[in-house]
Amino acid sequence: MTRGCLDEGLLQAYIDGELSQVETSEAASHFDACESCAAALAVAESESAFFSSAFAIDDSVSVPTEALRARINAAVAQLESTSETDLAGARNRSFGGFLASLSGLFDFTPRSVAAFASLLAVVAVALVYFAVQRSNPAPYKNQGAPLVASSNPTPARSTEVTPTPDVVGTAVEIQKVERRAKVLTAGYRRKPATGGEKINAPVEKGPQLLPGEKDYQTAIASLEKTIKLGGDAALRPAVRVDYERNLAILDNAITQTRQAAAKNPKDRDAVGFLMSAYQSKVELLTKVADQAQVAALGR
Amino acid sequence: MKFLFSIILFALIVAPPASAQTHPAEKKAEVQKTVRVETKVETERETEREAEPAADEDFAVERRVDAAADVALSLCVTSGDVVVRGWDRAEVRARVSESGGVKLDAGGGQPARRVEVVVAEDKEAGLESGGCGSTSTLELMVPRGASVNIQARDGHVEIADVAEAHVQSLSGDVDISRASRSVEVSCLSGDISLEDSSGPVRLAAISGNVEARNVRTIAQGDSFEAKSTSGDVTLEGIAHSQVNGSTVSGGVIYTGALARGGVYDFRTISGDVTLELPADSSFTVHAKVFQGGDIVTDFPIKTLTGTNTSTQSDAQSWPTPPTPPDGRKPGKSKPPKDESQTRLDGTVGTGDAVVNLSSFNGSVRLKRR
Repeated sequence: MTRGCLDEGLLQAYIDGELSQVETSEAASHFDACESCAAALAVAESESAFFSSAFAIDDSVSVPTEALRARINAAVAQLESTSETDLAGARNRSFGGFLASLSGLFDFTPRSVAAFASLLAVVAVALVYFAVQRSNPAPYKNQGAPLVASSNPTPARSTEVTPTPDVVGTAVEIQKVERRAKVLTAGYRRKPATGGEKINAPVEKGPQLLPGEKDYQTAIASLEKTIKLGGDAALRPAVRVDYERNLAILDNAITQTRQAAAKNPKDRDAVGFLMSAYQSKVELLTKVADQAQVAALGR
Repeated sequence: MKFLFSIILFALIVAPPASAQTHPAEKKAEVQKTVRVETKVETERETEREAEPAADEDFAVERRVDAAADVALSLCVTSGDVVVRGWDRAEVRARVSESGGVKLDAGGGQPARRVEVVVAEDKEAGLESGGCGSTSTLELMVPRGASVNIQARDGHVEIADVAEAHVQSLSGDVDISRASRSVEVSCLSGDISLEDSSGPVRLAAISGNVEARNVRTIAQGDSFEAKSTSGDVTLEGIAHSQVNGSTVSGGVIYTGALARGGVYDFRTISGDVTLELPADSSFTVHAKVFQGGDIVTDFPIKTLTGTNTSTQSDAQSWPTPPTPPDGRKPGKSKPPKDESQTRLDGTVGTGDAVVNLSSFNGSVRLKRR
């Protein structure tokens, strides 16, 4: 200590009386022998006297300058080491660390508990509301209305396609199935929401009927019912063959002429062909139904 | 369960008396019927004795009854051939071959205005009116003015020289000739043939051909209709002013003159419509084909531009084509095969008759005789 000049801190500690007795005597000896340090001591004492007069109120509080500096330095060093640890932890954060970071959340106070309970109640109410909304997607609209073919008709059908290594082939297959699903869906009718799994029951959607067709179809249905009641005994096998052959001819004729009539409903000839085919079918069925009734009476 | 058992028990208790109550009425009806049948049998026995000398050896049984000239004769046969002939006698005679049974139920009238013919396969079997019986072959002789109504389930029916013929046949051909007042035939499986007859006509076959030749009208407004489902309709010499011929799977052929002012409708769904008309025919034609068929005509037809009511001056004429240089027969005038020419509306001569022709899957042909 005596070999060199005293540093500012030691000089200030000397003025503040913070040095031990040994250090104080050594410092005093040094000041006697060292003019520069003595000059520095004089400057420091004058400054200290000035500040002492300026902060005379604070002089009552003893400030442990060296000890404070040492604690501050230690705290700064700890902070620097902590920041380095955080940087490393950010790269390799553990689940435990995450939980540890959440641990602060569980430092409950009555106020925080009340706020948390309110939040939970709001979330619960919101969940219930959305759940109810989802179970009734269209409460009043579209009830019983046919489903329009949509891009997302029945996804389950698409997933039924067995994947193959050929990606292109698979894609084509999926498209086919989706197309089929669209067609099927177009012919399906939405059931009420209470219907459960049978919501996709197919409903025969016949073509739009031309004027007069409905009457013929009603008559045909009635006659066919009568013939069915008569049983097979109404006609001899050979006649039945003839009957069924002609029935097929008439059905084919109805199909053909119907297409033409549907294309142009204003074409009286086409409609006339259709109606004559229907008429012929009614006549055929009437004749056979008569026989069926006779056969039924005979039994 | 107890309730169900009580109901069944109650039904068992009540049922026998209830059925017993119906018995007397049925018995009474049966007795009345038996008395009536026995009375008729007595009458028939008398007439049978009278007819015996005229009986053929080929026929085992013969019955006869006096009848009015315009007697209405009815018959229902489940199986067996039936031949009906008109004659000049005022009586109905029935004969069956082999050992069948036959009865003429005249209803007590003398001469009979209505006669029901009852047949049975077995001679010993009961012959009850109102039923259908079987026979092998039944021959009926009736007055020429008779009206014959036959329902046949399985068998051939032949009728000639009567006034009216009404036949409903399930299986078997029906041939009618010289019916003078009207004809109506409906046949499910079998051909229909009509010749030399007059009056309103309606022929309808399901599976079979329909042919009619030399049929005249007896009154203005008599109509003629012939149709089939799977068979051809062939008409020749039909003098009616309203003629309809149609089939579903088959052709329609009409041969003969057209009546002045007559209306003719011929159509088929799968087949051709062919008309063979005299060269001097005068008619307005409306022809239509649908799927790939042609409209072919030998006649120079003035097509009507715009509407079918156009006058002759603004009509276009289809000239008869010249003889080809290779010596073939004169070519047929064929309208261009485009969308608009699947229809032909035009006039031949002065358009005295109206002819509507259409084929859905075939062609329409107008041939000149």
